[in-house]
Amino acid sequence: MKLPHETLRGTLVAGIALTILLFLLARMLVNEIA
Amino acid sequence: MSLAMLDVVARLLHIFGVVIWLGHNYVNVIQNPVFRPIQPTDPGDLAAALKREHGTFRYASLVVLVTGVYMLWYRGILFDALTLSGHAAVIGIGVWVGFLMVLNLWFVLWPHQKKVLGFVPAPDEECIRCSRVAFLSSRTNSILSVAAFFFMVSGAHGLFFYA
Repeated sequence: MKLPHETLRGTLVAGIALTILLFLLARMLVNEIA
Repeated sequence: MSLAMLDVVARLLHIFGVVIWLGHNYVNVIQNPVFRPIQPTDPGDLAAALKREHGTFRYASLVVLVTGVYMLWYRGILFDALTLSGHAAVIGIGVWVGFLMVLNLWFVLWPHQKKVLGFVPAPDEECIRCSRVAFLSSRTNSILSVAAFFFMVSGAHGLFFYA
């Protein structure tokens, strides 16, 4: 079975998707205290 | 050397370490877009080069970790970053992602790569299995690096984090 990060495209998509999710988390954390 | 000067040196070493470590990772992504186990016909100097490269970027990852922690400590935001508190949550997420990458490198990739590179003797089948695990572990770090870079940079330039 091929995993997403076994291809160049999968690696990029997973990396960008993870970054967007973490960005939303960070924004929530930062604004919580602001 | 003053702590401020050490901070500049730490930043330089941090960047050099990142370039050596993830530069190696990205070269690997481009050279081997899909998994290909080491072949018995591969030239011997390839294995020697792999061994040398692996040692270099593995230790570069520790330089990145130590200098990163020092820079946060020097600014007095190490605890806030680690607990994802306040403004330091931005760089804090970068720290935790980076820390995962170091753990992945040293405790998942390296034990398997040791067998692939022949530091630990193993039968051929085990070497092929280990090379696949090492490949996936390396790609996991490629994915994590996208987020780590983003948070590393936006920790200092992250005004858009404020809604």
